[in-house]
Amino acid sequence: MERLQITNVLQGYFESSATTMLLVNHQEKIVLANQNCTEMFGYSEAEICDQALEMLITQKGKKHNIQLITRISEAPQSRSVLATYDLVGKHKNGEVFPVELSLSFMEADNKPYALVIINDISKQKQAADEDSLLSKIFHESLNDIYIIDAHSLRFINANTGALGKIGYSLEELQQLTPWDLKLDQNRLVFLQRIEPLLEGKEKKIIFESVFQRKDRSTFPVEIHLQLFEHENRHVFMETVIDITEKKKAERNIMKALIEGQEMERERIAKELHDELGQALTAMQLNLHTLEFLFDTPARKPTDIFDKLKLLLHNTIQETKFISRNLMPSVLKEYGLVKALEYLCDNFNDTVHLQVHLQVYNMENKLDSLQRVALYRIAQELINNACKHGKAKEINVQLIRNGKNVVLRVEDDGIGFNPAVSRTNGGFGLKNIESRVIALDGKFNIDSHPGQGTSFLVKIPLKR
Amino acid sequence: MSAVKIMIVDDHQMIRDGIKSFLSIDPNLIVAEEAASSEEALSKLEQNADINVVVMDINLGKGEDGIKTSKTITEKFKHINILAISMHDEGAYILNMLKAGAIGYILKGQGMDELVEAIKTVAMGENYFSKSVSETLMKQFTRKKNDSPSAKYKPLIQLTKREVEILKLIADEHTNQEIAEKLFISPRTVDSHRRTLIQKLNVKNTAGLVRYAINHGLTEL
Repeated sequence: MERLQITNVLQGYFESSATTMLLVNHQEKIVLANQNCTEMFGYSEAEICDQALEMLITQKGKKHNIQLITRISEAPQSRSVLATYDLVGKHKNGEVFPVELSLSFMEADNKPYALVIINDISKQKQAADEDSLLSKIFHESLNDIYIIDAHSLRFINANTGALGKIGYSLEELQQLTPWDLKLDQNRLVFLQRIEPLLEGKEKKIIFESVFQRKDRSTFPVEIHLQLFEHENRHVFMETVIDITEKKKAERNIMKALIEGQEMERERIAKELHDELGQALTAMQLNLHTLEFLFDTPARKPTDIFDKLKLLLHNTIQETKFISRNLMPSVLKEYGLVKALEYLCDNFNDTVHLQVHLQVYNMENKLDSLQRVALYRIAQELINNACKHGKAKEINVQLIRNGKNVVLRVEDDGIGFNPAVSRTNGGFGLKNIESRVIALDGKFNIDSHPGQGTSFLVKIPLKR
Repeated sequence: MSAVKIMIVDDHQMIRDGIKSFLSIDPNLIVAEEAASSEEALSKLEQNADINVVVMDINLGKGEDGIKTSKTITEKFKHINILAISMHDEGAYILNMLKAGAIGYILKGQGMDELVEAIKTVAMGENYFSKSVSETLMKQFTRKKNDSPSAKYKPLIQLTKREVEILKLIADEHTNQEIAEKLFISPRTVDSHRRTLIQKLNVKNTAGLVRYAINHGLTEL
C-alpha cells in the first residue's frame, strides 16, 4: 500500500478545509480523502483509500476510467484544470449527484499526484435546469411570445412559435416595431395602448388586433401585454394568441343566431300578411257589402261606416307595414335590388328627402343571409341618416367589385364622431357590425360632425 | 252590358266569400266559379267555358302562385281577362303580374270599393289599376330608363357629389393620401371610391378616369 508522506500541517489543513478534497495517484487510486469528502460520499476514510477514483466519480453514461491523471500528465502546463465534462458523484447508498472537479497537478517522490477538489453542484445544476426549462417553455409555448424593449420599442426576442407564425427571422424581427406587425395600428395607437402599463395603472392589457405576416397574409389575434422590470431594464412581453378559429366559431354562432332570428321574423311576417291581412281584407269586403245593403240613405249611419272603413284601411296598412319591416317578401321573391328599390321609393314618398339608389354589376345571386343582411344594413343606415343625421339627400350604392359586394350609404347630414358612437354601440351600429362579422365582411365609417357620413360595407360573395 | 262571369282564385275562404257577397250587389256580376289553388282554377276553367274574368290573388298557398297561374291562363284561354287582387304593392310583383298577362291590378285593403268598377273595366279588355299601383308603375318605367346599361360613357348625373369631387382630384394628379387629407376621409375610403368610379364609368384604370374627367370638362388640360 502506498502512503504519501505529508506533514502534519498539511494534514491539518487538508482535514479542516471547508472544501471537499482528495488526492489521487497516477493510477487514479485514492490516497487521501478529507472529512468533507467522506461525508459527501458516505464512506469511511478506510473504505475510500486505495480505491479507484471511479468508485466515487464517473463520467455520465461512461463506464471506463475517467483518466484524470493521464489528462493532466498530457498537459502538464495546465497545473490546475476545472473539469467541465458531465461528472457525477456516487454516494455509498447509491444516490448520484452532479459534481464539478478542480484538479491541481503535483509531484511528490517523482510521482505525479492530483489534488481533486470536488463541488456538489446539485443546486446550480437545478437552477440551470430550471433556466433551460423556462427557455424551453418560452420557445415551445403554443402561444406566440414577443419581448419588446420598453424604451426603444424594438423587438428583442420572440419564441420559435412566433417567428414560425409570422415568417420573419429573429434578425428581421429585431428591425421592426410592434405596430409594424399589426395591421390596424400605428405608433400613436400603440403608444396609447401601452400608456396604462407604463403609468402602472394596469398590470396587463388585453386587446384584439390583426397580425400581418411577412408574406402580407393576415390573421386575427388576441394580445396580452405585460411590462417587466429587471435590474433597471424594462421590457414588454406580448403574448399573442391566434384567434382565427375562435373568430370562425364566433362567426358561425353569430350566423346561426341571425339566421334563426330572420327565420322567425319571416314566419311572423308571413303570418301577419297571409292571415291577419287577409282576415282584415275580408272584413273590409263585408263592410262594403253591408253599407250597400242600407238601401235607404236616410237610415244609413254614414259617419260610422266611414269611421269603420278608415279604421280598417289604416289597420291593414299598419299590418302590411309591420310585416314588411319584419321581412319584405319581395326580398325573397325578387332579390335585394328590387327590395332596395321599394325601400328607397317608400322613403321618397313618405319623408322629405331624396334617396338615390344606384346598382352596378349586381346580376350575381346572393345567398339568403347576404341578401337579408345587406337589406337590413341599408335599411338601418337610411333610417339613421334620416332620423339622427338630418340628411336631405342620401345615396345608396350597391356594387359588385370583383369578388365582393360593396354597399355604400352616403348622406349630407350632420355627421358624427364614429369613434364615440362605435364604442357606445349607438345608431344600431352594433347590430350592423354583427351582421358584417357573420358574413366575414368589413365595415367602415367616415364621418365628421358637420361633414355628412359615408358608410361602407364590403362582403365577400363566396363564403 | 251582358253579365260578367267571374272566377275568384284566392286561397282564403273568407276573402272569396267577402268578394262574392260584395259582388252580389251588382246583378251584372256573377261569380260562377271559385278556386283555392292554381290546380283547381285551371281544371275549373277547362270545364266552364263561360268565364270571362278571373280575379286572381298572387299568394296562393300551396302549388303555383298567382303569377304563374295567370301566365298559363293567358296562354291557354285567350278570351279570359285577368284582374290581379293582392296585398302586394311592390313594383316587382305588379310588373310580373302584368307580364304574366293580368290587365288590371288592385290592392287588397285599399281599393276594395273599386272592385266592381275594376271587374267591369277588365271585362271589356281595358286596363284598370288602383291609384297607387299606377304610381308605382310610373316609377318602374322611369327607373328602367335610368338603369339602361351599355352606354360607353354613363351620364355624369349618376355620380354622387363626393365621387365627382374625388374624380376631379384624381384628374388633377392628387394621390389617395392627398385626397384623403383634403376631404377629411381615410385613404382607404378614397381608394374604394376610386374603384367604384372605375366600375361605374366602365373604364379600366385610373388613366381611364382621367380621360373621362377631361372628356366631361371636370379638369383642365
